[in-house]
Amino acid sequence: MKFFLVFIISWFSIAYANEAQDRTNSITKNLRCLVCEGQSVYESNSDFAKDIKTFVSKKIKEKNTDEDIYEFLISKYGEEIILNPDFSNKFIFLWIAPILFFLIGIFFIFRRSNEIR
Amino acid sequence: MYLKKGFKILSLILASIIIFYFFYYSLFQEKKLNPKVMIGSQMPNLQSKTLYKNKVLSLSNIVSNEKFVVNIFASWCVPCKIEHPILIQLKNSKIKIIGINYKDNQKNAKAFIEKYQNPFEKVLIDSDGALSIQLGAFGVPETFLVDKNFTIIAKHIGPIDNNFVKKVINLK
Repeated sequence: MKFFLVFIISWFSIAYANEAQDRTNSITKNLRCLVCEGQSVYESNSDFAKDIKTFVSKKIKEKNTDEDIYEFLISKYGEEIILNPDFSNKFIFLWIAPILFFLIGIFFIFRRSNEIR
Repeated sequence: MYLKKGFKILSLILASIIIFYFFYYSLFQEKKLNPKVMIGSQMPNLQSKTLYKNKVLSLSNIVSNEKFVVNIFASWCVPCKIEHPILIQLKNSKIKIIGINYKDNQKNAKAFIEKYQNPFEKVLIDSDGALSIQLGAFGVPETFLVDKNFTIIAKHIGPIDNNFVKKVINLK
């Protein structure tokens, strides 16, 4: 019975630790290393990135939600710490621009092909 | 017809030059960190063990109703040595400076302060970088000017200079 209890507790603590690590990884993959060139916090080994990784992991252990962690870091470093910005009014051009340019391209190709015919 | 073709070629060349300029310019552009985010916001009431007495203190225990400066430093940080005389100058002007000792060996931190004089009212230990994150810091050295209402007035990345000293002195 004792052995069974130890097994169950160990199993749950390992599962919890893995889940916490997965959450830390997924959050840090979406955070920009602000002192690096084009790297996420997850990829970087700079002191800044290490601090953020430790901080995120600590906040997860303290039962903070992903939104709480993002919100806190944005309040300290601004929106630029987020690698993939939200679909908000502020960044709407970033999301729409590729589709817009694609449509403009298609329009010119069609017009040109009609002219040739 | 010739004009149209000429115009197309000219537009293409112009577009290529603009694109080339942007890529070329970005190659040599230094990474600019944005210190403005924290300016105007409330100074977090940082809490940690102090370097000398190993006792937990918060900023509000150390300063009240007066302007002060928070300086993140480390004994291994070379630019911190450069700005140290300016910190001493600030201390001599009766400005309280709170040191945040960033990821340092305590023995080395104490040796650093003894060697270059102590400009700090108190030194809080930031062993894992958590205090620095609360300040929105990018590294060491970084310095914050805080008014008597605990509002961050200015933030300086890198060694402070005389302009920063003027800002501190001029703040009422």
